[in-house]
Amino acid sequence: MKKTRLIALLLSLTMIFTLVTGCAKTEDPSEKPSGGEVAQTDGIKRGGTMVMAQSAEPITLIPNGKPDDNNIILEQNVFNRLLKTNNNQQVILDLATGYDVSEDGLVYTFHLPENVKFHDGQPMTSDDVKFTFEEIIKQGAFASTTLSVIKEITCPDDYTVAFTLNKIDAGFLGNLAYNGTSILPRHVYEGLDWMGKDAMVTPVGTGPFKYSEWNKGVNMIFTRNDNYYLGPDLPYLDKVVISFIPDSNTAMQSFYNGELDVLGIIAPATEYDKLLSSSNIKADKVIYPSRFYVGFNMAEKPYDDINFRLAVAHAIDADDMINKALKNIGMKATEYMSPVYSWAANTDENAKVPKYDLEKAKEYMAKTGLTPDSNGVYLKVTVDTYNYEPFPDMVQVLKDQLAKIGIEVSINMLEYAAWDEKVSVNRDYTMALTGGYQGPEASNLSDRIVTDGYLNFINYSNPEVDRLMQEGGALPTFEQRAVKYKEAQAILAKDVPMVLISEWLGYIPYLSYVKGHPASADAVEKTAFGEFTYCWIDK
Amino acid sequence: MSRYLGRRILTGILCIFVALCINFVIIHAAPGNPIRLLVGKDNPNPQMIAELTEKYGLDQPKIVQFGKYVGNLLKGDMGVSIYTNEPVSDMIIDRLAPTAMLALTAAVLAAIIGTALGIFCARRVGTKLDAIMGSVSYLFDSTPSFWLGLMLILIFASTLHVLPTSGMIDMRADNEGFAKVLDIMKHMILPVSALTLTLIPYYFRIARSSIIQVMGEDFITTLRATGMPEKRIFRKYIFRNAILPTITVFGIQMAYLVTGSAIVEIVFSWPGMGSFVMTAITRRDYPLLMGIYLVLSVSVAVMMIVVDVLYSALDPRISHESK
Repeated sequence: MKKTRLIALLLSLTMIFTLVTGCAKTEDPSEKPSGGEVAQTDGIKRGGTMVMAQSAEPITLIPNGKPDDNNIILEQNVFNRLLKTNNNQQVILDLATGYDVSEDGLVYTFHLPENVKFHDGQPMTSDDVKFTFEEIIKQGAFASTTLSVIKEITCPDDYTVAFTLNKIDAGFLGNLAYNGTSILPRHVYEGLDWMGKDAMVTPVGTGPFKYSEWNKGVNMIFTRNDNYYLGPDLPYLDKVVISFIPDSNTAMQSFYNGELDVLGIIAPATEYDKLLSSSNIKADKVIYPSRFYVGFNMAEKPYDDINFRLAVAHAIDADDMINKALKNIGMKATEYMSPVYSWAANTDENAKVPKYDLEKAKEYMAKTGLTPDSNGVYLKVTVDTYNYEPFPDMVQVLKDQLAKIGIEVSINMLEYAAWDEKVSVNRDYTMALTGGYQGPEASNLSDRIVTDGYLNFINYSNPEVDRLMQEGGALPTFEQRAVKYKEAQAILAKDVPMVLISEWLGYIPYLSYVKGHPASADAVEKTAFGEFTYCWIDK
Repeated sequence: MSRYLGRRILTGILCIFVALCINFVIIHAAPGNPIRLLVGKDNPNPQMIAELTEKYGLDQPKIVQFGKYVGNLLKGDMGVSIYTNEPVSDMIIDRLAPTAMLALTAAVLAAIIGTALGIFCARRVGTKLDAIMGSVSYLFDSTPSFWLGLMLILIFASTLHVLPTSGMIDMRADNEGFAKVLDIMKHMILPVSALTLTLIPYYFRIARSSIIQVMGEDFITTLRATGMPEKRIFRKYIFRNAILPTITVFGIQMAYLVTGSAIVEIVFSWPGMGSFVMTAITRRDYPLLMGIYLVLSVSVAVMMIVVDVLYSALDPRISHESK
């Protein structure tokens, strides 16, 4: 008797908690998904829900406010930009139907379609575009640094908007197509504090999906925008759901178990064999403008000695590193410019990254003036790197490779925040194994190599490189710019301020019944990263 | 009793304040700068960094920052998250409910099952069954809960496909009402099992040893000599005396449940405090971290007081009357 009473008590306790937490939110009945069972002859199935994982939750619902890696899906699906960057890292049209550039390269005029409506039913006009960019700069938002070149924005009519620049900026279109430049309705976002207290205002955009609900810690739901300006056929899906899964092992199991349609997170390297060999999983390869490299603190001895840096550069065997540490998910870095911006890369033999050559490495080591101890060790160094994949494996291989030329490496693995403080801020380090984004435009290599660059923790300073990188960003055509960038790379090849190892490659896995994924061949040209306009479920 | 309670509450408040100081020092001593992490690496705007640093008072001396924090706290204001700008108190309340749901269920289940098994074995001391149960309890005691969680996922979700791997609700279904409750309960089975299985050994061992101890007491021998039936002796005298340590352990466990279930929550993507704490740490979200640790300190202090008071109520031998 007592036992049953206890169990009853327990069950009711559970029920109460479940009710309290589970049923607190109800869905808006007016947001009934539609377009479900439309008969079509093109073989594309309409309707359905697509679920993907994400490891963390957004910190803001305003796509143009604070930089936030976790609101990308919201940004790409609820909003539109004038231009966007597709998964091949090319700039393509988004809302804009076309644009003209004036002869002097200072005025960019964009033409807008006339049938675009925000999710609240209000039409989108050139005034909203003007508001968006003026506000980004006024609020000091994420894109304000790259867009500070804007001098004036004018609206000749409701569907034309013209940007006048202070000076020629070759990266302007690329920056317009990058994060933090979504077109926002003036009537909703005016007078709000984007960077502060209003960061969580309910999103209103023009995109293929509407923001529907956010269950903290559980999921975020987007429903079909029935009035999408590319519609009524698009988007194909009724619903996109982001499931928040902090642990990557759990996300993998959830994916294998069919609970996710798109993995959504970066798969652990150990899973690649399984992902690439499964018949019901598709995994599209993506090359990011991001690369793994070893940086030296050039303000200190012997790292200021080119012989030492060349010794290290020739001692690092990138193929071995990619094979052992990156499980072959890599591509040897051969030029100082990311291959994503191939128009700017200098492929001359004398401008390339030094090749693996142990004998040469030993020769350079002998020239450094350092003397080996009885064990043949020239120098003991600490390499600071991150504590997350793939860096722990990479630094082990690096340690073995450098031991061959008499450099004894002790490994210091740090959490990102601690690494940032030690290396980037305090520059209290000798060598670092790192990686990082160098996009969305070729000019952004500057951050890492020009004298006052934000990420120039290697303390590299060459006035010639500074000048060339600056000039390369201030010329109107790719051809003209490439000349400057190639020259800069030739100097880098002489100075070897960093040892580039591999490009950052990723696979985007999803179940094979998902069609039109932005990383897939069907949609890669026309969609932005994480934009699900053309996605549909074939089952 | 009331004087005792007053004293306990005062020392409790003092403990919380000391914990608050230590938390502040530790949180701010960790290398890393929340504003730098917030603005990211893509062309951050230096003006934005300066403004945000000033806005959150991070440019002021640490002691001033602490003073301001305590001042606001006394006014009932826990501050806003540097990242999301939401009030810290709201954010924590959002996450406490799912954690309580998971952790309470597991704690109650573990206490009942563990104690029952403990009693079962105590009455069979020295038998093979007792020895086996003892070994099994050590096995689960030494099993990390996250590993157990992953194994449960592999077995019941990935291989047998009978239960979902993680999360709290089925993302594809639009369940409402009772269907939603059932769905959540289904999602609770694995995480609750992982937590319960690792908690059972505590209750098992405590119940077993205290029963054995009480069974050996002189007054039990006396009762047996009176010819009282063994069942009655057990129910009226042994059990009542032996259950006291279990109550203490339960109270202490309750206080640590929020932290204890963190890892299991992360493994099962449970929307509670677990992943929330982890993210706050990696982001160095100072106000949020201070808030979370404050809530933890308060819950430990409160539970300790509750256990003490409950103890004296249950055991007449322990009295807190002022002499």
